Amino acid sequence: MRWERIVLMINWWKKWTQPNEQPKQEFKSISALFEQAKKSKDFVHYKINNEHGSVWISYIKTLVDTNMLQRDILPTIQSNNKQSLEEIKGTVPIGNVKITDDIEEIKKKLLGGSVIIQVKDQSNKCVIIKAQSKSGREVAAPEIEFSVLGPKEAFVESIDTNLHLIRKRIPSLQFTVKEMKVGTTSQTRVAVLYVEGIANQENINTVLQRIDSIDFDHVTDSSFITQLIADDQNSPFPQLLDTERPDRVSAVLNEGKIAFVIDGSPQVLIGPTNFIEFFSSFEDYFLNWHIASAFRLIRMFSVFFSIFATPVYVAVLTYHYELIPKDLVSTLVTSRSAIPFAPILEALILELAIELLREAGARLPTKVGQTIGIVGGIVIGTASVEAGLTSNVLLIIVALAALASFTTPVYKMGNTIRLIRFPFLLFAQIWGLLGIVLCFSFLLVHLLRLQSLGRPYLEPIFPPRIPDLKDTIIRLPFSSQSLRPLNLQTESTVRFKKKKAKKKKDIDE
Amino acid sequence: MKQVLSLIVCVILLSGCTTIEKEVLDEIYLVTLAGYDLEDDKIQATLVVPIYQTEGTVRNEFYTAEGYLNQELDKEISLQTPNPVFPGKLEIAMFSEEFASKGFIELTDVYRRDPSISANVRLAVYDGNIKEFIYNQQVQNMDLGMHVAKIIEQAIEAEVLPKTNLHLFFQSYYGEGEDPFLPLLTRKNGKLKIKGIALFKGEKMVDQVLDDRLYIFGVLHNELTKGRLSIELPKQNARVSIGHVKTNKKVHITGTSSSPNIKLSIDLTGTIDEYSGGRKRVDKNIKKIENRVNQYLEKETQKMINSYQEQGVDPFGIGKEAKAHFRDWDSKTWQEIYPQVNIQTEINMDIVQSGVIR
Amino acid sequence: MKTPIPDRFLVSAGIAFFLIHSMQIGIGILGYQRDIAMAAGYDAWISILISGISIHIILWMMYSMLNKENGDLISIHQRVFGKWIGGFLSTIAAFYFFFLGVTVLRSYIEVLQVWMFPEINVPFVLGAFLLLIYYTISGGFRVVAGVAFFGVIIPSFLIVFLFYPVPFGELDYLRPIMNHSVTDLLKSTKAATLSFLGIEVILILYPFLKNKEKSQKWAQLGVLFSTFIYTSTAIVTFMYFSQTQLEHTVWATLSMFKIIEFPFVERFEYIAIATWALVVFPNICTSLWCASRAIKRTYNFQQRWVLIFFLLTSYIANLIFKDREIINVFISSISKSGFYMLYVYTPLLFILYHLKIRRRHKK
Repeated sequence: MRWERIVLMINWWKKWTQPNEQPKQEFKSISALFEQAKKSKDFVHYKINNEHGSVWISYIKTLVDTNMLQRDILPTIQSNNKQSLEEIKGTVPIGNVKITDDIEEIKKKLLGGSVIIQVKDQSNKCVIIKAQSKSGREVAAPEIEFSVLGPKEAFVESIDTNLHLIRKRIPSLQFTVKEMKVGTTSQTRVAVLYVEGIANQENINTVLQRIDSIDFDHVTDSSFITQLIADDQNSPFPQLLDTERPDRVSAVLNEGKIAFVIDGSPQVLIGPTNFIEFFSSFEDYFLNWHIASAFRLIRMFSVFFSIFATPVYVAVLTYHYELIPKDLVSTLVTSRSAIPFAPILEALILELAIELLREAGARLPTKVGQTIGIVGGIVIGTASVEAGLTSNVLLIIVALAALASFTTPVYKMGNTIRLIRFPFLLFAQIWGLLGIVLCFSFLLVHLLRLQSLGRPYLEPIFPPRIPDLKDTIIRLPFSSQSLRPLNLQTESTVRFKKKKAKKKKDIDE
Repeated sequence: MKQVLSLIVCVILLSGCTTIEKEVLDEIYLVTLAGYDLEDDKIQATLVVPIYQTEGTVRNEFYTAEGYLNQELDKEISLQTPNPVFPGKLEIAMFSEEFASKGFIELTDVYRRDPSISANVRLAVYDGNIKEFIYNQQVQNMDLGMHVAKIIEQAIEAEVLPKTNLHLFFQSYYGEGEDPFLPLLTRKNGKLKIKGIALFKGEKMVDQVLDDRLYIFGVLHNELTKGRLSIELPKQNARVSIGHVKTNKKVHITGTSSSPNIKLSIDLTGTIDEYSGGRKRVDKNIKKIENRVNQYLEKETQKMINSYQEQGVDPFGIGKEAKAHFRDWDSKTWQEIYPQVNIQTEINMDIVQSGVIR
Repeated sequence: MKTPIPDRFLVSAGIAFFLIHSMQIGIGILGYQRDIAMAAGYDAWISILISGISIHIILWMMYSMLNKENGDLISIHQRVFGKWIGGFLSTIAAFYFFFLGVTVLRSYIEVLQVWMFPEINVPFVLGAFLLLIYYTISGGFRVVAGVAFFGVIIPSFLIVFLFYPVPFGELDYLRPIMNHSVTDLLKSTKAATLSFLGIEVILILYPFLKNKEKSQKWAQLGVLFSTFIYTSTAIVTFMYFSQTQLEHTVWATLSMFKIIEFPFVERFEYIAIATWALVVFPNICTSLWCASRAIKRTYNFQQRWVLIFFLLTSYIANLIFKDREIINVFISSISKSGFYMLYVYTPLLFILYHLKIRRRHKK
């Protein structure tokens, strides 16, 4: 009795612990394949009789462009008085027609939106005509990486459109597209783009190999790929840059980077990237270098501000009252005197409130979201100060810090910045300023350990590559951008020939 | 596994957070002024704590304690306050003249060694009873400590007083061939006023410079850029007021370390701001005015230095200058010979502008 | 015998500057002024220059051995002393590096206790530091080098504030120059060299540099920069404090930061102490990395386990030895042994090594 139970339990345990994979279906013949397909309502399989016999047409109607089917395919087949597959292949006014008897391939094509034409019902040999219906968004203006100046095109969900957008900007035979399929069920098309002769072969191999080794069932978006091929999957930092701007992709391809376009995703991934690149907006290149550099500096500053402002407030008010300037003491004490909470609690409450607003704003439809932001920001903020739950000084700091975190041009990095100030807050509460420095050290070491496609993440700061600093925290003029980044170890290092230094003209000459 | 580990570490760290004493700003009392009187060889400390009220006004709270050691004072005061008292924002420490003439170095040394106390804390001597002054002060809606410190700061800024603070006091207290000095405060018509400078020999206050002599002290001590001198010109039957632009002080030392000859030559550059004898006569008399000023200043500075030599006080650091000059300088011999050392001053006033109409 | 280290673990020659410099600037600079002024008074800044020059020579000796050997201290020991004695000496060297790291950590916690948190809970802070160190060193030498780099770059803003106290100083305190006997100067020089300890890490990390021979230039520059920092700090300190006052000041550099005041932050030394964690931390990392690396090279142990052993030992040792007397004796004996390692052992090894090489060539 007891033994049986134990055996049962063991069996149950085994069942739960052992991976239970869905058995892979192998079809012996094309009719078996159709038999399986017929279980789904949208599979169409019928016979057309013409003068010389019957032709079988099968397709999945939700994947096939019916216009094309009716306009180009059916008339030719019906009017066709020849019967062999070769004749059909020769007369259908569509390219990319194939004759095969490989069941696996037929299955793939069928699921990819092709029309299968058989002449004899039982025969495995058939013509495959590609008639995939294309529905999707039109190319529209970028929304996430909006820029006032510059091109107003953004990627869409279709890989072919996206490739077109990039390709037309790089009219070069060196521009190479390598395509792969990823995901056991989704069979998502992934295109790896690079410019041959510029991109480092080692980088290309790393990328191809990593994509190849992805073992995942359903890849829906590029962010899946980012997470799956990241060097360190436990890091909160994005290790591949994603963008929706074709101009940015084509520019970095020319620098020697590698881009991946994923079908069904309007975000194109770029790698290898580095930490600083996440804080550069592509609009920086449309502006004068002085202005662009100033904006970049402001962005870097705002990152530091948004990470450190609240923790420093907590640290100073909890442990280091000596640091506060004498004229500020009265302001701070007055603003805090009615508040029952310790600085850390006060800060956590406000930070969480801001995070709530942000999250609510992101989940709600745009117009409601805006209202929520304003109502929440103003009403809750003022009310909590008046109720004596938070001090108004902290409210200013938290609001500014939140504002500062929005300046990060890449959304994913913005999220990370949002997150990493909470550990800082915690450390500030434990050890004051020392805690902040300790937490910063942890962050620094983490960043030092990170790599993007095997290249150091903190480059060009560490390892220090001074020439690469030309386009990081500040952006120097184009005339000094004649070399490609050293970090990428490109095969051709020169972007363009630097103009020979103009001889300095004398005054009025 | 890794996550669990890091979670455990976090919990351990969090439980560690209770171990450091928190000094949350609004839950502590910050002393801004500390006054020390001497009551029958006991120290009587009076601390001023500003209380910031929610409406934005400030009220000063006072606490007094008596004892022999700083720790005793702290303990007694902590029995009276609702919040713990911290010295980190101390602005000024005042000592009564009686206390100063007996020496208060042990007390200030506590300040020097306390890492939470700034090196910029002002020290001052008060002519009178500090407790009485604090309890009867008329400062409204202002932090008393900051108020007193600002009076001194303003005077330093205007170069009426030479620079002083906790650090500089100890610098010259410990330094060889120099003696410290501190601002001397008093009360006049119920308001605080700078009375002059208290001079120390070692740790004890021995003399004071009254406010009408502060200018002479300033000329000898630092290189003035803002000082103002007004003197009588008996021959012209007029008064003139000269503002400084620049001072250049040089010390010439000759002789041997046992019988040195020291000459302080001070070059002043100034402008005539006011002249009561008629505008036209200024330009003609510039040379005369210069000579008169030189004469006057030489006499006065000489007098001042000689009187300090007699008392053996050296606020100007003449011994320090000698030490920098003679390789075989020795502190003991210097103290012996100092009263007899031949120290001369030479003033050279150069008036660069006279006719600037404002 | 030697397997070259793969290219991706190497760091460029310029990093030698940061590694050497960050090793030399540690906890000592916060309060070395009093010790060096003991003998030579306010002429002691000359002693710093002298010891700086001597360090340059020692570093040159090390490089001349390393360049010839194209290995590290362990292979030099094996060549000169054979397997057993060489291994023994390497073990001693490893433990020296270990203790060097431990003393720096211990001293920094002491600074924290004195200046910031008198009742700080040592086991927790220590735990956090050791965790951080483990996280760093387990990332490999590149991360250690990166930390050394940032440990020089980020706190370098403090150099500007070093000169802030000058208006409160007296140039007269420095005069007359050279008013002390040569023996006094040399005594101070000995005290000053203690601040310069740390260049011996080059003996272990040398194989991890690219362009090994070229890196000497950078390493020497690192020493030069340390000498500059030490000398200028000493001069500013000597101007700022009168001599007897300095005798009463244990952490002179920190005391000097106390005078700095800004409209937005009033007490600068708190920021300096917190930032100093970034100066001290690479220092400890480099020494512990060297210690574990030396053991690994000698005995072929897994470096990770050696590191964990060292970290646990230092944790326990720090908790057991709470008595100030013992700690002081320990710290001074470590610095003494560092002094002998640099000035006695290194020249000795240098001579022995070159004799050995020459003899082999003759054969």
